This record gives sequence, structure tokens and C-alpha cells, in this order.
Amino acid sequence: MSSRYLRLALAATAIAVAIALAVYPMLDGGKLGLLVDAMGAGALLSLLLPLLWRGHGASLPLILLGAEYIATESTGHLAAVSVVAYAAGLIVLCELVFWLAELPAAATIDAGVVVRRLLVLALTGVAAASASSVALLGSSVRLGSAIVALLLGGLAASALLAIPLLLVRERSRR
Amino acid sequence: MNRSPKLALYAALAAAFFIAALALGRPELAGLGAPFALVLAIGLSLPPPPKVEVSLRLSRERVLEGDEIEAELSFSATEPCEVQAAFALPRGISTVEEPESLVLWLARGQARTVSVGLACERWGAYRLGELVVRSGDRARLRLTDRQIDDSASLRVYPSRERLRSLVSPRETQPFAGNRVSRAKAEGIEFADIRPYVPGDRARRLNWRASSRSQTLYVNQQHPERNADVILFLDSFAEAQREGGGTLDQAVRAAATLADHYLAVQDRVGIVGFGGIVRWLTPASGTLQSYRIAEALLETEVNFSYVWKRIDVLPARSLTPQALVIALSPLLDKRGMYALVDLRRRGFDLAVVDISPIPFANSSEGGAPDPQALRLWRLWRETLHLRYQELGVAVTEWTGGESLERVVEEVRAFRRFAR
Repeated sequence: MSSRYLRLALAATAIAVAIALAVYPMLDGGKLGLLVDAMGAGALLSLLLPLLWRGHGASLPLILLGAEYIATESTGHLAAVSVVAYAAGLIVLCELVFWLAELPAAATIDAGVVVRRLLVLALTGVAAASASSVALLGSSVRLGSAIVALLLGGLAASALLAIPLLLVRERSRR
Repeated sequence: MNRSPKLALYAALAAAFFIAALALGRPELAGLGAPFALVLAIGLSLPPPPKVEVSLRLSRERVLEGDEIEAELSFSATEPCEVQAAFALPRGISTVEEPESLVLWLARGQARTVSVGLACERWGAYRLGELVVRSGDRARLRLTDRQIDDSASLRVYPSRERLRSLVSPRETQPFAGNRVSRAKAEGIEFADIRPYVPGDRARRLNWRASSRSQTLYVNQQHPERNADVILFLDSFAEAQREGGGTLDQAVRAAATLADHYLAVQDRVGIVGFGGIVRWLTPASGTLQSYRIAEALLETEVNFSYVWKRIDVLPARSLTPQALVIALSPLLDKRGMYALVDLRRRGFDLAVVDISPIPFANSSEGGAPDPQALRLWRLWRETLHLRYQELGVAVTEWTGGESLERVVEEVRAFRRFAR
């Protein structure tokens, strides 16, 4: 399989997902509407950078999209279902953009590689939606005891701290 | 092992969403950060990128310009992984149809062989097999780039043209060959008759002349001898563009001439006169043909300011009475003076001026200024006339024409000059 068609398909999908992710927070920008609009437009424009310049600046549109969502969320409340969909969409967009950045401009690609990647992409989307739902459910649980809340909070914090620990372990391995 | 930019971005996004969730008191933002944290946690717990082994095998190691060969790449890995491989092919070698990059999936402990067609576009001695292989972990958070130098040597010999005639040397050597010598001795070709002297063999008597003049006459013949031909490659400077240059043409012409002279039993030698002086003493036979082909592959332009004269060449590389065919773009004064020097030393010289004009560019890279080009052409014509005044046959060769035309032009000049 030629990488050219795959790149085109990935780019088209990435643009579609990015438009959806950029436009949704604009609908409820609140007091920071102008800033949200500017960040959404910036994210869409900066997405062209990795698409046209072989993956350079791939992080910029994703950071802008994240910032746009934080700005919207700081002024108004978006529906919980939308958070789950947005989380899944954002991570799928990240995966698409980085796949595109890695893909050589002209290459012969195994069909097996593409199938595996698509499966991983779908799995990542589902996992992201599940993780987001679990986090939201966790935040809405009413705990009777402060000790239980402390224990659960400690557990969540240590789970988060595991990530930097894993990174440190990787560095020492290298 | 390198970290993918994805790793840093995911960590930054997760941290930003969690901090924003805490700062703004919005748990929804934690819901956005959780997937990134999950991917990081799972990805970093997976084993690191496996080591990928690559080996290269070529279907042929010696080919002619324009030939195509198959390169077989064998990949194997200790763990299943996705591999990206990019060929770093030298100038003159390209892939036939396939792009220079591959993306493939390797199963654990299973070797995967991929065939890549390579087109040998330019002569030269190459070391192939420089590959950049990228493998990653399952989540593509950690990547490994390895440069693999499992090199295989490939020798691409210059292509040859077919010639119907060759420039005949003025003098022959004392060894037997296919050329009719101007000297008179035992041979096949009739040369003259002379009066009989005691000791002459009876079978050489010319009975018709003897009966007419009533004295005995014997036939004289031209003996069959070989000649020495020195191919003089001026490699001080070259003019080149994408897809070719004057040195490429010179080497192709030298290979063609060497093959044809060796085919008629002549002794052929090579002198590479440039930044590095190389020579191959004249000899004949198939072995010399191989020696010349190998020597030509080493020819390249080595930049040097050193003023060099013919004196630097050993005497045996320029044998007396040899025909010297110079293949020169006439760009460097050292090469031009060397040719004058050769002629003044009495060598039978013919110059094939490999015209650099088709490769001319302006300093900005566009078409050259017509006025400057005209002046350059006039200067080159004057240079040709100066060589011709010395009795040297000079002919201009632009790459588009056949070498046959050049040879014929040199032959015509030499016939006229006699």
C-alpha cells in the first residue's frame, strides 16, 4: 500500500475531528467567547502545519484545543457526555496527528500495519471514553466518610504519581 | 532510545487538565486528563522497543550502467513490532518502482524478507546497505532509531558504445598485433619489391617483376604489429549538473575506447591526471580490460591547488610512440598545459574536448548569459586552433552525440594533417 493515500485519508480524518473539537466549545464560549474562538481558529490553522510540513509542530494544535476546552469549562458547564466524547476525540486526534507525523512521505506500507494501527486507534478511543467516564463517575460519588474520601484521594494521587515514576524508571534504564 | 514527542505532549496535557481541574474546581477537566494519563501508564509499562536485526543481500555485485538488480532485505526482531526502514542510497543508485522507505510488521522471532529493485544509473564503486531503521514500543511512546551499516559492495561499470572504427596510431610497437605496420618485414600485407640479395627466401621472389626486368626481385611486406594507446583522463575539474557531468562522459568514453583497442590486440594504459595522479601501465588482454574497468571506477575529481606537470608521471606509464587520446573538458590550465607538454615531447596526441558548455549555469543557477557564453565559445575555439597548430587533432564532444562521430572527426583531421 502506498503511504500517499493513507496520508490523505489520515489528514482528512484529522481535519474533520479537529473541526468538531474546535467548534464544539465555541458554541458555549461564555464570557471568554472571543478568546475561545481565537484559540479554536488558531488550533485549526496550526493543524495545517504538521499536515503540510511533515509532522513539524504537531503538538501546537493539540495544546490549543486543550486550552480552548479549559477556557470554555472555566466559564460555563459543558454536559458530562460531551466531556467523554471530547476526551475520546482529542486522544484520537493526537494519535492521528502523530501517526501522520511518523509516516514517511513516500513508502510502501504493509496492509497489516494499517489494520493494526486502526484497531489500536479504535481501542484507544474506547479506552479514553471509559477512563473519562470513570473519572467523571468518581467525581460524582458522594462519600459518607472523610476517611474513605481521603483514602480514595490518596489512591488516585499515587496512581497519578506512578506516571512520573515510570518516566524516571525509563530514564534510568536508558 | 528516543522518547516520542507524543510522550511529552500526553504528559503535559494530562498535567494541564488535572491542574486546571483542581484550580477551577471542575471535575470534568479531570475526565479529559484521565485518558492521557491512562495511555501513559499503559504505554510505559509495556516492554521497550525491541532490537531489530537487518541484513542485506544483492542479486549481483558487478553490473553495467543501466542494469537493474534486486536487493533482499531481511528483518528480524526479538519482539513483535512495527518497523520503518529508509534506504540511504548513494547518488547514482535509485529504487526502481518502490519508494525508498518501508513500513512493515515483524512477528516475534520470524524473519521477514523484502525485495527492493535497484536501478544502477551511474558508474561507480558503491557501498550499499546504509539503512535507518525505526522501531517503537506498542504505544509508540518510545522510539529507537538505528543506523545499520550492513554494507554490500556494488560495482557499476560504465556503459560502452559500439564503434565501427578507431583512431589509428601513427607508430606501432614491436609486438605482434592486428595493425599493419609502416615498417617492412615479414608479414601478410604487400608493401614493395626490392632486388634480391643472397639469403632471401625463394618463396618471396616476385616472378612477374623479375621476368620483366631480367633481375631477381623479392616482395616486401608490412608486418602485423600492435600499438600502445594511452587514455589520458583530465580529472582536475569537471562541469556537472543533476544527472551527469563531463567526468561521467570521459569515463564512459575511456571504457568504450579501451575495450575496442584491446579487442584489436593493442596495449592500453590509463593516466588519470588530476588532483590525484593515477596510472595503469599499458598491457593487452582480458585481464587488462578488467584492470581498466576497476581503475576507471576510482576516477574522481579531487580538488587541489598543486601545479602538476607531466614529469610527475613515471616513464613506463607513457610509453614512447604511444597514441595518447586525451579526454578533457579543457577547464583547468594544468590539464591544458600537460597536453601541450605531451605534444612537445613528441607524443602522437588526439584531444577529445568533452564540452562543458551544456552544463553551464549562471551564478544564480539559471540560463547562462548569452554574451558570456559566446565569449567562452570563442575562447574555446581559439584554444582548439592552438592545439591544431601543434598538429593535435581536437574535436568537441557534447554528451548527446555518439562517440563514433568524434572518432571519425579525429580520423579525418589526422588524415588531412598527414
